[in-house]
Amino acid sequence: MSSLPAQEVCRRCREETARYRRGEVHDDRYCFDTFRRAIVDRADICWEALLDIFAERVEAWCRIARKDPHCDVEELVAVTWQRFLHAFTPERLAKADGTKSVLKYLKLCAWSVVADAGRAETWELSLDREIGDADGTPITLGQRLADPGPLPYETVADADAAAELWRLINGCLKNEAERELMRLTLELGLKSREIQAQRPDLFRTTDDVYKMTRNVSDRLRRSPELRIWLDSNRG
Amino acid sequence: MTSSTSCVRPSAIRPGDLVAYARGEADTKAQRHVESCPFCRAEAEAIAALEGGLTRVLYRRSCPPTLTLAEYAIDALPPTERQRAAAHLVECPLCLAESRDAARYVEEVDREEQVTAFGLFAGVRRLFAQPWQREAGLAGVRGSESGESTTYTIEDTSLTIGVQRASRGRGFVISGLLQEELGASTGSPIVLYQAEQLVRSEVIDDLGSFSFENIAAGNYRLELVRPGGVVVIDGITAA
Repeated sequence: MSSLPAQEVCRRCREETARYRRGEVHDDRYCFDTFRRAIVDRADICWEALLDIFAERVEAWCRIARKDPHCDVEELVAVTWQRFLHAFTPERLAKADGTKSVLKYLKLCAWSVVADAGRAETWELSLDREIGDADGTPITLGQRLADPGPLPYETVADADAAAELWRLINGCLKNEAERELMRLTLELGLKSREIQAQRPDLFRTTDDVYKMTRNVSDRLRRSPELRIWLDSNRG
Repeated sequence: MTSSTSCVRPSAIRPGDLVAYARGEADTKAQRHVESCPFCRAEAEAIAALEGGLTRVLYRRSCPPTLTLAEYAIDALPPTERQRAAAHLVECPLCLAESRDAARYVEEVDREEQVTAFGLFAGVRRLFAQPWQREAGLAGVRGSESGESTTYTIEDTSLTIGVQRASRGRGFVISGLLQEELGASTGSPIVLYQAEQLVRSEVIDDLGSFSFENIAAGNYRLELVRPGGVVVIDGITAA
């Protein structure tokens, strides 16, 4: 197999995949070797062949993950391949027992890309909420934050920045209940009734969530260190 | 924003109302008050901006990457990572929901793979069912009240398929009943194709019946998995 030119392996991969689709007996080795050359040898010709041969499948997987058979998945498909390229290392390939297990990982990549898009949409939706007005014109949370950024957990504000922010927040908190409240609010973005439902042991009613949040919020707003941090990390 | 140094009517508002307003969760009474009180409105806006600013940095920060959740869902993580992910899932309802969604997705994709020629059917024997008997009406078939039915033989069992106009809505209903031991095919996929396009897939219920609703007029093919291979029922016309 390794003596065959890449073009020939790709051609056979395409042919064998077509056999597979028709329900005929097929030889899996050519597709597996096309993946091997793409992943281990970084052979562009093999990548291009795989993108083409499995295009329809990856599109279908993205649509299933999106739960929308008619949605536009062009970008999701592109990111799926990028993620696969990044995550499916030669070490992983060495453990794979055939094309089927490689494709299984590609399927997971498709789901994870769609799930990330879902996380981003949740954040973006929260930015549309009106939180006040300026001279009678309503302003949204997104407008109020100088530059809300697209994806909070993927922004330049890296793990160190988050750890430093948590240190400052923790300095204003009095007990475990307040820490849990802040985790559920700031890290998970839960609504008050969801927080109460998640921790009925700490919050008997949604009103308890509101009251504790108000107290914590007042303390956080009075913290000069936190104000400095927020001002210097805005936008 | 017009600002003020104190609330215009403190008795109209409870301690938590400003947080509720800032989160878009306030009741009408609190909402009316905040919107008419410059002080409370400014306070609510400050609370929302603070929460928003902090959430911007911390949102899903400690959550595992979605690919890790997907690997967790199919039990593909090494033990240490699996344990770490499991510990996170216990306290994160969002990741728990995502992980369950990943498991459902894998199940669904696998089912789709089973029912498209691309997937697990590769190399499987295809059995072409033969029409055996046609009759009006279709007793015992889910959703069937009128129309014509055809019974097909498939080796040692038979399958009766009926096509009817939908009583409500548009289009047709294609339904069927497998004559076999009760429950023998429960959960097996059955797929409706038009030319080479997969139209829809369903599963056979515990009575051996299935139904495709809101089907447009046209010619269709059904495929279902049997122990001996894939059974193909061609030439089903909805007209």
